[in-house]
Amino acid sequence: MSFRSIARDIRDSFGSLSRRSFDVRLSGHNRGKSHSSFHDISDDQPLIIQSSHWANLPPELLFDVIKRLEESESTWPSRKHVVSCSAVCRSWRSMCKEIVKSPELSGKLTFPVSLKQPGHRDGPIQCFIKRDKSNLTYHLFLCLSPALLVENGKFLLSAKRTRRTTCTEYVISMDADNISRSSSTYIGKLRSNFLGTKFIIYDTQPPPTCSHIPPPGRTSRRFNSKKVSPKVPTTGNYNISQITYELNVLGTRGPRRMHCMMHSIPASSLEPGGVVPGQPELLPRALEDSFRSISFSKSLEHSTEFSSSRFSEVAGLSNEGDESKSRPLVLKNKSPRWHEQLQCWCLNFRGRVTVASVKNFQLIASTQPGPTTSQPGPSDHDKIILQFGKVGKDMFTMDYRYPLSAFQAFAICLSSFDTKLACE
Amino acid sequence: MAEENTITLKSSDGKEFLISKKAATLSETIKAMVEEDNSSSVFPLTVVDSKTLADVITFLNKHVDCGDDDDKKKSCDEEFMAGKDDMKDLFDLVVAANYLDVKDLLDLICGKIADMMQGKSPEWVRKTFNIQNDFSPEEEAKVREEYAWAHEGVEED
Repeated sequence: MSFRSIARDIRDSFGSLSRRSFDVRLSGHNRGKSHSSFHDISDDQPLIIQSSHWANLPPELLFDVIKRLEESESTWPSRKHVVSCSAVCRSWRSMCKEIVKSPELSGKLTFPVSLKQPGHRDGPIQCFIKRDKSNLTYHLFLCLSPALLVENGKFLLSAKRTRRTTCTEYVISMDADNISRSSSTYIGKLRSNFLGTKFIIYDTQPPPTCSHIPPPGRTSRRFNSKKVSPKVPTTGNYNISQITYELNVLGTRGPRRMHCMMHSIPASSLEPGGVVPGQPELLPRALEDSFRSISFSKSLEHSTEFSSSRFSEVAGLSNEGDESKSRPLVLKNKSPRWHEQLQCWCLNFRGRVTVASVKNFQLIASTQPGPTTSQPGPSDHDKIILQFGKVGKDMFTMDYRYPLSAFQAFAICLSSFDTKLACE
Repeated sequence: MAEENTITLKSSDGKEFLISKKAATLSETIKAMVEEDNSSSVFPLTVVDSKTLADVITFLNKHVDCGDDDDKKKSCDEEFMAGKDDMKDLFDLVVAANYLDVKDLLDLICGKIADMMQGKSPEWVRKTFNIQNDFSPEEEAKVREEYAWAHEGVEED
């Protein structure tokens, strides 16, 4: 009782100072930097005669209010209110970030940062992709209703296809209209080889387990993974996964065979108690420590356990059990069954895919990497981690789950759009 | 025996309010005070002013009258909150409810504040709640980006 009343009296006597600057001032004294801190405050906070009561709201009450808002706005479009709330001031922002759980636990996408966080553990996050052939763009939306052919969804990501002389590139952006590498909303890209049989997903940010990421290419030599700093420029190019399409052995109309090596996700993430280390922050260059949900030092701790192993090309993977803990996750497509009556290859998409297409696929975890494919066990390995398929002209569904992120899932789906000269 | 069943609450500005023990002890803080000091009948509340205390007492009396009837409570609460739009009053009330530890009142006001913030821009919230924008230009840019993404392709409501 007395503490609260005293605290409030002190706060009131500061009147115009927000809670944040009040803290700064106190900590400044402790650090012996009171002089500069004090001046910073007087510069940044011009005299405001009116007292700012709400800025001094006890944190537990602010927490209560924001938690109510968060719980009542569980779906888009009203979910945007939570994002608005986080844009008010620093203390509100950190409160919002604390209250909003990651998609892994909640199954909800709230802040853009969730696009690079692993999907829900308990079920697929249902999305759809709209293709625009006229300007070679692709837009990823979150499904807001169970209907397959819907016009509105929550925009998540966009991509633009660019054909170059030796490869095809898909620039991936958080901006629906301005899709370019020079924009601050650029978050990564997908690049194919000449034949369209091999794709690499590049992330602008280094994954926490950067030790087994293949060294960055020429374009990003300056940002060698050993010298990563918390302030990573957007121009970073980190190879986070490789997708390979095998030559089609089932005939021209048969399903393709895909092989995705997720360098940034350990295979152990699917084992009981397994996790995807670290949680990438979107565009961390603009962040201060108070903005970061995972400290960088923590990520580096994780990376040490991966440092002993080195991963070579897809085919050359070692099968040694010792390395199973640090092995990257490998996804392969679920083999379709030959349907005698329909005379075609079939996969059960549980109603989420309605149009037969060579692009349709379902990805499951490959328990043993490399050419030896063993039967998946009854654990998480059985689950379909990513499912993609056609539902209409230029409309496709994309359902993904833990441990893939929306960004990774979208990039993998984009590779399926690309024409594969050698596969068909 | 009326004296045994009532106590007096004294506000920070010295006004006294007579209230039944039953209503007063809906506040966990007052309940603890009464249990600790059975001989007193006047309890000073140094952080709650008379205007706010009067509101709180109205709320407590209404809830005692409603008993366990949740529907009745709900309509009582609506009646109680009607016209409570002044931000200063709401602030005083929520702080008092927190200090006095009256869960129902706290829920009611926090819910009201959460409702007020729905569909509002950060600028509106800052202005209404008189909160300083303390983001650095770098943070501000990041916040704006997030805000733009969250509102991209979303129908305004």
